[in-house]
Amino acid sequence: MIGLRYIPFCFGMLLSASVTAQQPTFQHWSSHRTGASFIGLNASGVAASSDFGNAFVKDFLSADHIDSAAIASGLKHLDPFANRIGGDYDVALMAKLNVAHSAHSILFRLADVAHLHGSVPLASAQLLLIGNKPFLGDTVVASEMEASLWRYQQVGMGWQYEPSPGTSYFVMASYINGEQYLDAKVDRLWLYTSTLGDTLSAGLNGGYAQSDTGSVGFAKPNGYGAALDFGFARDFKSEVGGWRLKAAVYNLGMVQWNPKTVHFAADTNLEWTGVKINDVTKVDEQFSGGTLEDSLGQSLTKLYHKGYTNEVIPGWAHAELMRYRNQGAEFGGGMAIRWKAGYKPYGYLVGGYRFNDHIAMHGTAGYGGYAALQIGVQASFEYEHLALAARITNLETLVVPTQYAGGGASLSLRYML
Amino acid sequence: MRIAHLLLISLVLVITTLGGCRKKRDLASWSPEIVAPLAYGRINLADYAPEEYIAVDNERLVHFIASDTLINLGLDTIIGIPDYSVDTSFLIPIGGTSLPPGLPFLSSIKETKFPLKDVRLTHAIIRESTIKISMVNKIKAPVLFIYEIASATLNGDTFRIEKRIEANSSLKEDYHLDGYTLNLRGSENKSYNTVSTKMQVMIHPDEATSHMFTAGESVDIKSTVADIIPQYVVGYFGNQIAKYDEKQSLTQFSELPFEEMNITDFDIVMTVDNGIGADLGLVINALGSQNTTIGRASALKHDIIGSTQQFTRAINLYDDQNPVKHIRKTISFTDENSNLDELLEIKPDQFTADLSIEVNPLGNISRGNDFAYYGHNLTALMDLDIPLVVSAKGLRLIDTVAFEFDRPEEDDPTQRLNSGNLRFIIQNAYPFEAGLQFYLLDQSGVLIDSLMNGRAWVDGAFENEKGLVDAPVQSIVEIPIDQTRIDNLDVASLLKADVRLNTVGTDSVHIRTDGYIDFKVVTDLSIKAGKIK
Repeated sequence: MIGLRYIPFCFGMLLSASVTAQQPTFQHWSSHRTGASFIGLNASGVAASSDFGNAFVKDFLSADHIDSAAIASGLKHLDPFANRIGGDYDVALMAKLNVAHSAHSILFRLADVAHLHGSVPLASAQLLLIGNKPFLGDTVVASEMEASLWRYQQVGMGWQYEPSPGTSYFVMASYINGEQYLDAKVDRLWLYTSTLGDTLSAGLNGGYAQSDTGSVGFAKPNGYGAALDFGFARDFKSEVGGWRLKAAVYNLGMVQWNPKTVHFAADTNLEWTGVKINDVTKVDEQFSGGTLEDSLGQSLTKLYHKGYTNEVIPGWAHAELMRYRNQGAEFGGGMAIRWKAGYKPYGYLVGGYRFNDHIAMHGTAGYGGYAALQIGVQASFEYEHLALAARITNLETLVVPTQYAGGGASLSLRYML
Repeated sequence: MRIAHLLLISLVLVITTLGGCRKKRDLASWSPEIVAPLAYGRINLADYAPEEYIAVDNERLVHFIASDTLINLGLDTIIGIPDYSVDTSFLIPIGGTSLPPGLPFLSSIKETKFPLKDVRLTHAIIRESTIKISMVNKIKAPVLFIYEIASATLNGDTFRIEKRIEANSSLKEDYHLDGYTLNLRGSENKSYNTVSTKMQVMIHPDEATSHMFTAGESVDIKSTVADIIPQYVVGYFGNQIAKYDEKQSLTQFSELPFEEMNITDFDIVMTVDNGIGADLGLVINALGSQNTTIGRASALKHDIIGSTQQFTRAINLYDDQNPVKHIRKTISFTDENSNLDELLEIKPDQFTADLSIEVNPLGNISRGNDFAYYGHNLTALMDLDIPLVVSAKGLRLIDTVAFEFDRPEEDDPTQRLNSGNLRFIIQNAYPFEAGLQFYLLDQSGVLIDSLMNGRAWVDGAFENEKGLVDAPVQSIVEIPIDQTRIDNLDVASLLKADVRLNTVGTDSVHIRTDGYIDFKVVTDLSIKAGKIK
């Protein structure tokens, strides 16, 4: 019966959009129970875009074919220069084991992580989706493109010190198995198509690196590295309640990808007018035997090489200050920055209501990251040994799916030992 | 508590498993429109004629130059010296006769007269010949065999063979008369066409004792002079008429870049060259050309046909390096006096000639001093100089070729085609326009598809009053392509090209080295990107 009276409030929370959003998830090792051990699971997946609409993305992911009208509709909101998209996926088994009822705990984390981000100008999306025919006699400039994909598995061991209730410090070192890596960056790209289509000219300055293309699959060992997480949480008491400050740095580290990593770099201008036919009576010979492919392939091969590459992992720093209480409205805000992730600083405000010690609901309105305004909701439940938290992000895309793209969810389960 | 534990662990496993088994999704397909150049090139018709047959004049007009022998009648054809044999034998019917060494028991002198009808040769130099001699000695003692062609001398020496042949053995050997001079007037120097052969056999002079012949001992001698090729002959060649059917193969025309052509201007000279020291009357009864590939033939119409061409005798210079002064006569063929252009327009691969030659039509006016040297023949040489000014007006070229559309079974890129065009951008600097249509046929020749939506025309450039093209003309020809057409290409076996040519503003086209057709092939296609169902 208690739950029924909360339902209108939950709807109110959603409608008022005072919800959580696309901020990174705290891998919070602290809990209300100082020194308590637990095992648990964190699973989250989130993706967002500053410019691509959810309807457009949905069509791409689910429809058989997208017609030109849908493409035109999808492209009309794009920024001429940078349209960012990014996402993260993280599934982790976590454990905290208190050492002999002391202030010290051993931390353990086993995770499978993926990260994707990219940024493309409108012109490159147009070239990809519409083709070059609309640009006959014109030059399309599609510079400043980037894309990055990471997939790795992480095994971490750490230590947490909780000198007093509400105060904790942690540090964790992780070994990283690099499964897959792709990083592409194009500083300069332009394409000219002559009016009759008989000449293509292009300029390219860019390159990419890709982990061993012959070794693809879950947990394939294509690189190794290490990362460090550290942070603290501290509660401050005041006359009106408590404030909780949390700050942490995650994945401060790097991965060395093995010598089979492919590197491609180009800084060139090209002009293509077709295959020269020297003798029209022997056209077949001039197209046979892969001559065309060979000539293109040979020139491209010169731009390829394989070798090690050391790359800093996309990591982040996160700080949050929350007003908390045992029952009643809670509020706060936070800030996250990420590196190597094409991610703009993300700031957010949190508001919500704690119904009692067991149940709380919050919403977040944030701005930044891979998108602009982002709205989400989260709920937490804690009872006896079980703690559950769930979050849904980017609710703004439900309201204006043609203009906003994104979506995500996370789930955290813990069992207190 | 245990239930809660189990629930939690189960939930963790389920979520983890689902996370590891995420379904791989394909992106939707979409249809970008891609315009890209595929190929380009230049066609210069002059490039397709073999270089050795091409000349360019000051106005860059291309000329087809060729020289070919239509008729070549040599010494051996007009004056042939036949093979001849001289045989003899010796048999002892009754024994008891004894002869000393060195005393011939067989001595034979034979004069052979060649059956040359009216021809009366008195003198010859042999270029090549073979003398095949066999002798069987059935005498019980070694013999000396002497073979002598008294008529044949070389540097003052008579052709003579002396061979020892052992008792009851034989000789079989070949000799040559190359370079020998033959006196064909016989042993008394009064005859003609006559050679004198002398053969002797004796007990070999090296034997110490006389030989007592017994009955049945014998000697058998056979000699043949064959394959005589004279280097030089003198005499009276008689008054004879010979008919010849000549065929002369050609390769030059097959390499010209025209399936058909209409030659509007030509200058062709036939040179009849008499290197034979006899008066000749040549009658060309028929002269024609054939293209055996397409089964067409054409016969020459010209005053020369059927009329007798008299050639006076060549002059004997008696110079080893340059022994003959030839007598030449040229016959001109133009578009006004002949239809020789018709013979050439079929791109012949052989000339045919029906000839009659009368030797010494006025009789023996040289008093037996007709002569002929090897290699100095009666020839008819045709020198072609054809300016490539060809008419293409109303010309329709139809050709069907077999083709195979090599469509991959897997990852077939043509499946990604929605529709579009193959665009041909043509800059034509030749003053003819071309109407193009291509048909796809099945193996039986049944029409499957037409590649063009109606005949497509490539515009021709205009020639100015000097016959020069001021500027090329651009045309764009498009071949629509879609999946239906791809399927038709897949099932078709034959491609039929139907090309209609028309000259622009003139009846004929000047093929110049600066003429060209530039072409660019551009794909303008809507394709399926992403997944294909």
